[in-house]
Amino acid sequence: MIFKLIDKASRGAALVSRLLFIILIVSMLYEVVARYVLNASTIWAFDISYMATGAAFILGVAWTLQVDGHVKIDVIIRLLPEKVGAYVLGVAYTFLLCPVMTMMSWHGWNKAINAYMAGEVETVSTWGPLMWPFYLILAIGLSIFSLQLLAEGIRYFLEKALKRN
Amino acid sequence: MESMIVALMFPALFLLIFLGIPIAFSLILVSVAAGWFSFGPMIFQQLYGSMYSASTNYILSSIPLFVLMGAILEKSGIAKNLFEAIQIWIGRLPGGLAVTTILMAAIFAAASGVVGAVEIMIGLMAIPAMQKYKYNNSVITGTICAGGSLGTIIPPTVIVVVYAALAQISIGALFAAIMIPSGIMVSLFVLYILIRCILRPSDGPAVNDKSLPTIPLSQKITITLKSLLPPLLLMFAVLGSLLGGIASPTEAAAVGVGGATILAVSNKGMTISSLGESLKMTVRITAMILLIVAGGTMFTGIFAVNGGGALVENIAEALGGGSTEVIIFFLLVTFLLGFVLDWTSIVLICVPIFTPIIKSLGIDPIWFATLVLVTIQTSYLTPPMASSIFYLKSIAPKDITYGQMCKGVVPFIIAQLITLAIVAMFPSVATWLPSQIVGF
Amino acid sequence: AEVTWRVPTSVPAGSPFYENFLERFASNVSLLTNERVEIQPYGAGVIVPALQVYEAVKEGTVEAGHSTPSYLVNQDPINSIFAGFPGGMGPETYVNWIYEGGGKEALTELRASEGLHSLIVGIGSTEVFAHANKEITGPDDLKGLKYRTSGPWAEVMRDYYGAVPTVVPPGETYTLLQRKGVDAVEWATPSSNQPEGFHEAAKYIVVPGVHQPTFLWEVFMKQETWNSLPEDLKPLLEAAAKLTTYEALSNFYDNDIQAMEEYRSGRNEVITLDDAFVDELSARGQDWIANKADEQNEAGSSNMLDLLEDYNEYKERWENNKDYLIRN
Ligand code: NA
Ligand code: NA
Repeated sequence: MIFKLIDKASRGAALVSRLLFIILIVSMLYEVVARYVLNASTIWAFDISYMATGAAFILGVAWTLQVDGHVKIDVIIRLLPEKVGAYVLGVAYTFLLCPVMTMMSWHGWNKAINAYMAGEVETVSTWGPLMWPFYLILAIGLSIFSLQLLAEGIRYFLEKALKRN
Repeated sequence: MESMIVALMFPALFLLIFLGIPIAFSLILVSVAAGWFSFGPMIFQQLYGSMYSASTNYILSSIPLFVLMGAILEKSGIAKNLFEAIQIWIGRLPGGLAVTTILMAAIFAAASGVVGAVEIMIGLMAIPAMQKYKYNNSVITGTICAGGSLGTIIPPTVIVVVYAALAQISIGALFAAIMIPSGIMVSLFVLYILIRCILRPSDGPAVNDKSLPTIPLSQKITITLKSLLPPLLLMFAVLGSLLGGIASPTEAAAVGVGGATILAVSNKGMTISSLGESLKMTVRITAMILLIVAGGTMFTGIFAVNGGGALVENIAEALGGGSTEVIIFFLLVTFLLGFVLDWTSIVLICVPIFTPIIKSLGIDPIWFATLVLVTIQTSYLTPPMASSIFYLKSIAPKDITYGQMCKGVVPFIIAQLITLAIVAMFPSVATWLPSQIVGF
Repeated sequence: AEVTWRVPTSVPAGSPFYENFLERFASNVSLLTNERVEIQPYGAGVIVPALQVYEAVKEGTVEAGHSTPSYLVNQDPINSIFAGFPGGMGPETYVNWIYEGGGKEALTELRASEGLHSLIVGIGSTEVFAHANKEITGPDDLKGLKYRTSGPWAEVMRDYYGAVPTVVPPGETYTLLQRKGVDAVEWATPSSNQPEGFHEAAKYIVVPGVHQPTFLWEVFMKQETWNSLPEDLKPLLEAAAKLTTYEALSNFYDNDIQAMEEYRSGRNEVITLDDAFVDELSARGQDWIANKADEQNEAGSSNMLDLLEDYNEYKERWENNKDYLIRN
């Protein structure tokens, strides 16, 4: 039940990633037209392009984990019994990666809150947008990723348990 | 103590990867463990910085766009028509599609300069086509990986720009220096494909004569115009805007996506759901690649903080000042790092270490840079840890195995090593053109 | 060493700023403190994100950092006075304002308000106005010019001259200039531009760099990190910083002269803007910063306005009396 909820959150985040890619394309096309047809470069296209890509990336990692899209080399571990590989991933996801990513998310939330409080703006751009929405997206994406790691990790253990029964 | 940790980072990484833990996760875990020694609990915010760096790297923005362009062209059937039209003309040539793929990859590499993106785009389009014409899986995988690796070496490439700035050498000269070596490399790739497919026609079968002559010339031309022209126009739009300096790679890739969408819609191959599928694939591949980049950035930082650079310097000094030994050692370091790290990390780590030593030994920096660049490209291809194979794995159909991928790249690695040997033995291959070229 | 600091910077290892400012500082510190303090420099993006060095120090990820107030102008425009701005002081005047005219104290006070202690490690010479594919000699040449620049200069170029300031990612600058995707780029000083290869991509080199007459870099740490240093080390670090600044500035001048010689003797054409045009551009830059200071003042903070007044007063005193100086 709770795992289903986590899956849903990851899928939802990945849906936002798709939307961000469309925003990326439209803003890049607009920038080219603006520069060459209207002869007026935008001040926001640069920031939008990296922020959209970065946000789409972070919001996409959890769902990519769910569909087993993070590349791995499992030819060697597959020589061993199936449950060994499952246990390895179960341990790695549940006890190592989930805590690590949780700590990173924690820092991500701090960044977002501090940026909001201080009204932090982009460092080098002429546009100078507020940074907290971007930090917030990173924090959300990392948090969902941490949860998905927990869910997948435990699933590796459970499948093992199921098979034994 | 610290150099112990640095030395252990690599075996630990290999172990995790061979345990079947995803590459990006393995990089993160090793970085956390090794970084704890120098940062303590601060390690998490230090590593968050790497996530942030990967999320804000403008150059990476072109990756999702090239992926999306490839996906749209493939799912809408345009890529299929394109390769069929090509097959009408060169179908009798054994390995013709593989040669076409290498050349297409070279052209896109010459324009975009972004490693990885081109491989996935070309792969999405060419794999189904080569499979349809019963090409051997190893030929397919080797071709895609080798074609994709050209982005590192065919100028202009972002790697060269970053390398030249770090090493304080002329970008224009370095672009010129890698031109002949990359030409040699592409020729060797093509030569290998042709020889292999002529010797073993079943690996890259020519279309048999029975099916070909039935098409009259006028029909051939009609089919060609219909299938070849639109994607060619698209390629001209993307390449033209890049080469004409109208757009940066990211912008040009966006132009490509826009154009591909228009083509797909007018080709009636595009539905809302196939656009959705393409976007879905883009999310998955982008997340996969960027997480590896983030993990690589983490690994690089921890390697540096734990004194990895000093370790390399000390070994180089211990070699006693022989130019040849130092060059070989540096190329080995490059190659070894290239096993696991993407080019940004390799260049960031290595160039500042190599440059002063190379200078003090009086070695031609342009020639040395060319050797390093060819080596980076080779390590990009070399299993078990090869970025080119990771990228290919993310788009390859299930029936293509990891073993076939590893087998497929071997001949191309040999071709690269031959190129490396040629450059090493005849430095003028790299140094002659820069002395001839006029910039503006 | 008694004290070891990891010091990341915002520029890549091996670049002139890195060697001239940060590595020089590291070796001066080692020299003056008899190796009691070790500064470990790290190039951009290796251990913390290139543009987040201030944040990383504040958050405690690293003990100290090296960066420029330029990156803080968006957060607080008062930093533009220290960063150098269009129409501002040149290096000769500036280094004296910093050390003798109260500039250093003002920067120390500003950083203290953020909980940081600042050591000025590096004042730069003047940048190149543009490497350009087109001749630039007067205002008309700026109209519609696709110009890679940023910050205040971008605003001045757009608002007063109808230029098209363009954001170009760092790795793409050379390629885009070479393919004539942009008409002109400004980057750094003559000698620091050399390794970027812009002179090979575009024929014209336009000077002087009104947009960035000088610039400043600093090493900073948390106030408590500074306070916890043994008392006898503090003046030694201050001295190492000051020594670095002066050595680095001389080094920049010398390298820049060499670079200009090479540009002139090569295939490039160096265009020197006439005084009237330079004065006009400077005045626009002064307008820009005066407006910023007024905005800040109206928003309730008079700090920038007060500092700018001090700064301009010193600049004027210098200009009014520099006629006694032989400057060859
Ligand atoms: Na290229
Ligand atoms: Na490799």
